[in-house]
Amino acid sequence: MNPSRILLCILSTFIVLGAVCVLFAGRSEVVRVPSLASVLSLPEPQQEDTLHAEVEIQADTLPAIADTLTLAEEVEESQQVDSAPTKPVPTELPKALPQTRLNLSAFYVALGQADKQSVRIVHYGDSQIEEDRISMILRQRLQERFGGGGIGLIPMVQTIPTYTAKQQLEQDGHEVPNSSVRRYLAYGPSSMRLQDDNSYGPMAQLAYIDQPIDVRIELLSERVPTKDFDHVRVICSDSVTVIVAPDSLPASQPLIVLGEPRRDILLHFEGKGSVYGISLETATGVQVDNIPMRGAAGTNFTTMARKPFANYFRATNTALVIMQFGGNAMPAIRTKAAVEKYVLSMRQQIHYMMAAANGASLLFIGPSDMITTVDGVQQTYPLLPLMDQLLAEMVAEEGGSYFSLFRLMGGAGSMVSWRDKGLAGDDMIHFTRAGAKKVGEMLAKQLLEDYDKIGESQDSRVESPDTINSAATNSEAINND
Amino acid sequence: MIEWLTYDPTHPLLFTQFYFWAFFAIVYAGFALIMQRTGSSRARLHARNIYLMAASWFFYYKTSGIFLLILAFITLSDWLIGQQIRRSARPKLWLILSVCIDLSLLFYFKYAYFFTNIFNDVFGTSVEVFDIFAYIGNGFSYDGRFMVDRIILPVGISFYIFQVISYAADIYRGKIEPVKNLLDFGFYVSFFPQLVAGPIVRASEFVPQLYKPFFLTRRQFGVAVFWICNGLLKKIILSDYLAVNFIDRVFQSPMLFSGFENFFALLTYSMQVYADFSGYTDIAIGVALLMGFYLPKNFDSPYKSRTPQEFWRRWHQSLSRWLKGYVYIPLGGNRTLLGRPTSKLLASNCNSFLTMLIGGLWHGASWNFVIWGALNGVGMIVNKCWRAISEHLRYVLMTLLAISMVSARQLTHEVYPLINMIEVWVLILWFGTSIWYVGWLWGFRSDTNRFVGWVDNAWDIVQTFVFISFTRLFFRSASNLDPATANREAWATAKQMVNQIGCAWDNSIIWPFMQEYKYVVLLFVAGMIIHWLPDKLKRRYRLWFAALPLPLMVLVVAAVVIVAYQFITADMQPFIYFQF
Repeated sequence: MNPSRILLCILSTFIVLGAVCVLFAGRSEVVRVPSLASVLSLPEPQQEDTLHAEVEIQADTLPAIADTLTLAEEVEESQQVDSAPTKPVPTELPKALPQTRLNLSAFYVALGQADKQSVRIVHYGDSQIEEDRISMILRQRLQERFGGGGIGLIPMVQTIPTYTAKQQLEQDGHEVPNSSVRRYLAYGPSSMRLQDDNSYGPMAQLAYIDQPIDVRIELLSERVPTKDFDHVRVICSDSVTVIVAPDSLPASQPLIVLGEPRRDILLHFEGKGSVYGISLETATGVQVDNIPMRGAAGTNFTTMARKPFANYFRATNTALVIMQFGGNAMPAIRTKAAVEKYVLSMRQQIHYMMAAANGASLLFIGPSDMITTVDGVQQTYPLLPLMDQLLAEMVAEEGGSYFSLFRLMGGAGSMVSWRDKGLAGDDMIHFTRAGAKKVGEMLAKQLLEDYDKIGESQDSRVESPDTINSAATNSEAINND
Repeated sequence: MIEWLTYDPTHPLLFTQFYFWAFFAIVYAGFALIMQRTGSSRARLHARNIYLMAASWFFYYKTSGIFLLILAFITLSDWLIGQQIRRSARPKLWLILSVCIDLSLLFYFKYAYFFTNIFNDVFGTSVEVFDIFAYIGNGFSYDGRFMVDRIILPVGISFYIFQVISYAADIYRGKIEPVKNLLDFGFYVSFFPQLVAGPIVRASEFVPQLYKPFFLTRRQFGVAVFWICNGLLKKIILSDYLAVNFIDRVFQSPMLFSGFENFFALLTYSMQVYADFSGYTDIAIGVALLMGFYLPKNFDSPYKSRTPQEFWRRWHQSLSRWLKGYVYIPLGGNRTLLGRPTSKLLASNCNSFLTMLIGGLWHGASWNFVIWGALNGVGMIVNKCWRAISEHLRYVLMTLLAISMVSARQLTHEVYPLINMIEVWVLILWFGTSIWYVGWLWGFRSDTNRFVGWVDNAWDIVQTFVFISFTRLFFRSASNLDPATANREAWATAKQMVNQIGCAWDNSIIWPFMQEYKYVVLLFVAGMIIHWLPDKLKRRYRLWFAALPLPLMVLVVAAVVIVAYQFITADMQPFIYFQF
């Protein structure tokens, strides 16, 4: 074959592919075909200041835009992170998000009382918070400031290791596999659901024991310093007996008071029944529970019995419920109607949670920026900004506070630079450890700053010891100021 | 338009992007013109070589920017020295000079951090690297644009340095004549399909092609197109999809995943690295063939190997051949050890081990790569010795090993992840060996019974595959990291993965995992099945494709591109071997 003929074949292939692009681009949901324009255009030249400029414009022209965006230092940090090459970002300016930071006043008031009582934060989320990421930073920063110890609520069987605790099952002094105990989940694979019950407890999962078994837990300080605990709270069926070994302290009450601060514990379980979780905590100060639900979009709380949640929140003096969802829903959402449907579903979940955690504040952390391929170009999921917007508005209407992770990261396209900086994985969806730490620090910083601005001033006004309930009223007053 | 022509570090010319193929079409148009219009045959070949060298230099400039100067320097230096080797009365000195210059550059750019770290560890100093080239560059640029505190690895330097070393050595050994024309030599060094990630073309294989006229049969054309399509599908579907949607997640956060998931990630990484590298090679071979050049085969279904030795005969063959020819043999081969005659077995094993260590270090300047090379070396030696002993002794040794592992576990109540892993693996091996041994005692032999032969083969292949995958724990962990942090991060990742595989194995998670990652599992299984197809069958469908009528072939290629496009879920991933 001579080279001219080969060249003809090469050009013919280009022509066929070009024709396919012209004729079929964007026509089918099943078979993706890029447009000719997207194939022919080079990736845009690096514009290091694109995002910088965008944030500046937002700050200049929309002073009332999302409270998160006006956090001067965080924005500055985002700009630092995003100084790396970025992919094209939408030019349309986002709408302002409602101001909701004051809706956490009840929590800040409770936080002001942390020297006298335990203040609990329960952090629900998807795989972004697995490994105790994000929550552990929040816990560390709040415990440094307000005291408290332990790592909060953990499952009896920990299948996903965390940075803050080493945990194993034992029988007769020997380690046994996690599969020795049956587990049931309200999320994830349907094969792990309860068959005739929906009481999963506050962790949306339970372990069922039918033979004596021990759980050994040891706090770790490899990534962040963890503080000792002096109380252990076991949430389980009445038919289950718990003994602290080797002290042989019978757990006749749900809250076991240990004689001294500890970093490890061996719990012996007997009987038949469900174990919903084990909390390592202190009598006062801040406790932060990390409850990841891998694969969950956050829409399944209403499928679970509410009473176990309510009992737990009440017993632990829960002052703040954090829900961090949206990331798992985004890839399946193709239309604006689907976004609205998801937001409606999340509204029901928030109703449910606020009713269960009567009087506690609610903080919703929206999805991070996520990248997909649209028409041959890497960009943010097209409906992600809308989801962020609608979630923020819905949360505001429900009286919760909204933390726009998407905007704090730097908005559309920012995940690329987070990936380039080693803060996110190559899938441009999940954070790396460093990225999760950064998010945790941003969250903790915002809460602490707001506490300083709002909490202390409210603290002086509140006289009733029933801080949580009264704070809800105060919150409204603050919002109307 | 100017962006199309200037260097952009974030957008190198990748085989998986349209820009490369547009570049190739333009280059090919010029190539076709030269091959048809230029006068005499000799002038035509000369013009072709110059033209392709210019195109290759542009390709390298787009990939590595100013490092093109290194390539130019190497080209000039080795061409001049090559002439001297032939003319001089003391050719060995010139050969040594050539090797010293080439290796100095390689060591400077690739191993500066590694040796600086070792120096600091040994002497307790805190010496930092200083890029002398950047410093000199700043003297010319006036705006201090080059960073002097960081040494950047030029893409493909390990490949073209090895190539020019082979050129000098082959002249010294009298295998080839020096290339008379500098531009012809420049073309050999920089030929763009294989410039940045191989195959490593030995001078004796390529230099004669510089003087041969273009010749390509209709069937060869079809085969070239097949290799290109094959490579694209391997890279985008098997490599990138598996990496982005599963492997990278596990390697970035091993602790988030159970032991089974970590183990599966290791296995799929084996598939990824094969699909990635062999995919690149397939495309390189296809593209070169379209221009009438033959690049050596680089992979021969490596996961069909029954032993680690066989694996290294089938995997990255151009490197293995290079190491054999220019490291193993000069070390003494199976005749001498450190220059002294010794037993064949000892010399062969020691020199093999040293060669594997060097091979490991070639891949990256990190202890992890040294460990990876050492593990492969040990695996080869142990396997060789194992096969040399009698069947009875093999079974006795395996039984003793299994008993000692179980006893050790009973005696120590502490849980050691690595020991757990080894114990389970030894018990599996013992179980398999027991069945094999009983069958052998009953007279079932693989050489007489076809079924037994097939089972025996499969058992060996699985063992080798798992072993090679395990060694990649150290290979993958050190990848994609700058040399300064490679050791620390790589150790942490490797340790966490071993911890999870050894201590956090959870069978209950296997089925939910299969459901959750069904596409990853299906792709991995499909990839392995295709890999294990008989060579005859593969050859048959390759030739069937090559014989397709041209219009139909064009349509099939277009369909392949559209299918591959469906699997792109994130940014294009660079080829793994670009970093070496």
